[in-house]
Amino acid sequence: METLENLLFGLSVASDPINLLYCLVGVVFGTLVGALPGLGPAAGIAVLLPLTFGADPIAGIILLAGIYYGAMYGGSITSILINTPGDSAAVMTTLDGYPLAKKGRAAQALGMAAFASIIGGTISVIAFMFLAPALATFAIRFGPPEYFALMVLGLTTIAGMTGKYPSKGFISALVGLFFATVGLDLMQGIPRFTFGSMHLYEGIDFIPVAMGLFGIAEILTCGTSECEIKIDKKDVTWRKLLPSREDWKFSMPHIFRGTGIGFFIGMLPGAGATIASFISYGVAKKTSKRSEEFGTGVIEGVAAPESANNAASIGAMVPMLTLGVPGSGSTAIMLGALMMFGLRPGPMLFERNPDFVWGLIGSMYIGNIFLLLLAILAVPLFIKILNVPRPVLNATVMSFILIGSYSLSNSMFDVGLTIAFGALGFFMKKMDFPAAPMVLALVLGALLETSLRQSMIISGGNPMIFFTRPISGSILVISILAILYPMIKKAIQHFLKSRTA
Amino acid sequence: MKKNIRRMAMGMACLFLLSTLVACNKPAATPEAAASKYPEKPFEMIVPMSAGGGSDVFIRTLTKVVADNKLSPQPMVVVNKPGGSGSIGWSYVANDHKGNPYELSTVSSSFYTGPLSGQSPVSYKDFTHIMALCVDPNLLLVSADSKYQTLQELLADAKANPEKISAAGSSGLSVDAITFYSLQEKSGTKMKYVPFGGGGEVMTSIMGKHTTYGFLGPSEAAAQIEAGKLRALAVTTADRVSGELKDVPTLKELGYDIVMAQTRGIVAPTGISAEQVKYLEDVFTKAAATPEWKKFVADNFMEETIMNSEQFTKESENISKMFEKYLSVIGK
Repeated sequence: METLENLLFGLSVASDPINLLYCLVGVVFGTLVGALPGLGPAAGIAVLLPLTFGADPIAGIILLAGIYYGAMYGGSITSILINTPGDSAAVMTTLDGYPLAKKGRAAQALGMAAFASIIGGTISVIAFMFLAPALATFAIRFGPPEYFALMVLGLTTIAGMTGKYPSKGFISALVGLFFATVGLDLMQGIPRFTFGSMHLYEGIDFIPVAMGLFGIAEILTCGTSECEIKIDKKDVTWRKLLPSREDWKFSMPHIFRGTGIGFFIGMLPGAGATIASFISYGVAKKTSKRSEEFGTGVIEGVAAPESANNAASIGAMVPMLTLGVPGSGSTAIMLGALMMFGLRPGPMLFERNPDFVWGLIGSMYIGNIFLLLLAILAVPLFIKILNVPRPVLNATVMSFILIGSYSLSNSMFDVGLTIAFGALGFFMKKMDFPAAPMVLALVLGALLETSLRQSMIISGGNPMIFFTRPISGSILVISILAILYPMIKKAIQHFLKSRTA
Repeated sequence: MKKNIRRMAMGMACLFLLSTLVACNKPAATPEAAASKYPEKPFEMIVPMSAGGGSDVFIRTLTKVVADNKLSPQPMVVVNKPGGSGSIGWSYVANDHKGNPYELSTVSSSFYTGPLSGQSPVSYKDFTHIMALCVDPNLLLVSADSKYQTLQELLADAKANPEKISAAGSSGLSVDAITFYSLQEKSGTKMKYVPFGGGGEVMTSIMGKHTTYGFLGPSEAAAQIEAGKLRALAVTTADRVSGELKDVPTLKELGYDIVMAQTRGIVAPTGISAEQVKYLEDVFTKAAATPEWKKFVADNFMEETIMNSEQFTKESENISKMFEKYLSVIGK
């Protein structure tokens, strides 16, 4: 009951006209930066940060949170329409979103992305509201061995992204793991594969890689008219925009599963929405009835990662508010903002600044409704992107990609890096090497190595630490089963066949 | 009719906006600019780390105080140039903008360790020190339900069981690591140092008891100490910190002569004139005297330590020497 009272109080704070305005601005701006390739939520939050200084802390955090989950939806728009992920968490959405668009179902894909995002977001807010402190205690139990196990589980999902030639998918993943080793090693600060360039000390960020491999490579291979997607005017009616009943039937379980996975992984410091969307897609492929069709344009391939990344963006706020520990790059900036507001995130924040915490929660409900309205109203508008002549569109997208990569750390080096990965992506595409495993391996690789080495220091070099701890042990067993399952299935089938024969 | 009204309203709004812009510009531009030509364009405050960290919050709060109190006729724009453990941002200031009094930056531990370990092309000698404002202490913490009530208990156990106690801190070349290794040396123990990517991960590791203890700044740990989830065993400053943490003993009191805290201040490239240094020193001295700044320093458990250009240069020399000494210990 108390929670509901608090919620009403929070909604009343959030529906203050000024706060409503900030929420709306945040969601709209977030959707925009999310949709623009290269500019992700972290960049969006950093840009609008000074705007919050003059404002009340509540209005400020409402704005920043709005940008964050708005961007999670926005990223799907360009992923689906032009095969260029708007931000890193939307990489997985391209895999089925773009094929759907090619089939002429762009509108339904966009609609599903919006609904999945909003359902994921709203369920997560509810979970956040009731369980935040309890969940935070659980997140703490994730130490280095548990992270290692989770990264291994993440890597097993690569098997689901290898496309036509599994061996090429694995080569792509291994190269990604190699790229993850570039930079100063965390333990002793020894530079690895940096070739004396200090620009590589902090490793290769995955945003230039994702932008290059997906965005630029797409532009390069789409020089000819083969990528034109023709949209029939008749298709852009309201009824057609909404996903069909069959779409819902296929997607619903994956939305709920994606929400759970996303919220949980988002809560873990250092993991974040990108890894959440990867794992959610991988799990969806494993559990779907039509898993063979993944990658050719199935609607649940959009629903699973999109529900997960929005859920993760809300999940990341659990450790930020209750522990003062950021769950992602974007929440790290928000945490900095909280400190500038003079608020101290932690268990006491809920008691001392209830208007702040509950106002934020209230605003997240309202923000998700804004997001829904925005999505429904704007889908016909977004579809029009496809009517833009390809050369014009390519030039525009290219300039956004380059601006976005510069904005990462205000350096030309990242621009060069993005172009280099664009060239690599072009050849990979021509030779049928899938790009997603490389990006996934790069994201997971750094955390995989760090957590492995941390675990080894803690255990004094004994690898049993991964199996003796309950959480990491269970996750590792799940991963092993995920790897062995296809073989076991085959063996059983073989066995049954031989029996009947 | 309706259209006309709307048009008029639009026009009025534009005029209003314009007039406020003019009004804002006028008082700020005249008095100081007439006295000396400097500064005649906006300052760039280079934060060599990504947004959200300690250095970033320090610079952003300071520039906000300067702007709110109209202490500088020209705006100070914060620009994050992360990468290379800070060396990219610092060499941008010191090498690419030598003699440019509009490019300012701040210092952190890698400002000193970078050049010493050969990772940064610029050292403290390549900068004009403007002023230091405060010192960020470091705490040695355990989880509240840990069996160790004091540092002595912890170290006694470490002595009895070598390689059993583990500590969490940020990367292998940080203030945390240096504190750890010197504590290990001075107490004659053998412990394990587990480096993490940042303060948040260190916090999780201490609270989840994945490591026995860990190092965190008070601004990160204070909320958890207050909520009874973490216990501070020692602080690394020369004197105890004030406020809620006044009962935490210093390492020095406990018999380990280690003082290791992060000085925060403003630096500029070399080759700028003495008047310009004086001017900037003046702006930041005024900023440091405002109640907003004092509140920020107190809220984050920093120690106010105002040093002018000369004192700050001397301090940098000392800090660098100290790091050099401890880095050679780590190397062993």
